[in-house]
Amino acid sequence: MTTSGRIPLKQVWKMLERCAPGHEVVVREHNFLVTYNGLSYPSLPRGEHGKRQNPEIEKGHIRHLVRQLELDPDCAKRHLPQLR
Amino acid sequence: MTRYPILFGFRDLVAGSGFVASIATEGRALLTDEGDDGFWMYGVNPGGIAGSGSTPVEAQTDFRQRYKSVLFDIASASRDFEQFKATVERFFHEVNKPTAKEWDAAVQEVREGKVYADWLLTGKADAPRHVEVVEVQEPEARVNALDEQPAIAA
Repeated sequence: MTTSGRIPLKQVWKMLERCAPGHEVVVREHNFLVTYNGLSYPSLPRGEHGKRQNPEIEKGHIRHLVRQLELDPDCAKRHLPQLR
Repeated sequence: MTRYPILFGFRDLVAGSGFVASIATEGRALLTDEGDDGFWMYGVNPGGIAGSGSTPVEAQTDFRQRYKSVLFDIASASRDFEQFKATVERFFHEVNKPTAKEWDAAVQEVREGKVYADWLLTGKADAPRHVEVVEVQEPEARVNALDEQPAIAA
């Protein structure tokens, strides 16, 4: 797996602020649970132990989160150019 | 990008607050070859999980692990079995709609012979998908079960 396929988590939070206003994030033991408009993505990785301040998340997870929460893909790509 | 429509069957025993639950899932996922980004397995139902790896088997293994981690998260957040069962059922039935469309298209590609995977069993694409969550009242060896072999849907 290449590191170019990863996105810092802080960028993901910024994207969600813009593209999913009103979304909620719950920190669980293994994953973040992200909910928006009655839909949920319960498996956003928290990162490896010891690297949880701003872990880098594989972009496939973010791509799938965008689809699961039915976000505007153009908005997501505008804020996360790595998804293009 | 090659994509494979996958059928899977997972069997789990999960402990929570005052209960042990047996969870049997018959789900759907889309396995894709994304070149430099490796292989990805995206959930259709349950839709909220994805896994990756440098080989198809690694991606399936990571997907399986992420699925289990969500069950553990739900167990940790549930006050009793009823809440656990309801949350797992909601998790399973939340279909990832865009990925479901891709899954249907991938099934068509398999049927047309454009995609094949001799390393997988073949299953019926229209086989019912479901989740069964049962409280284990009397734990004994007969409640143990192995996962089903993943299959390509056709």
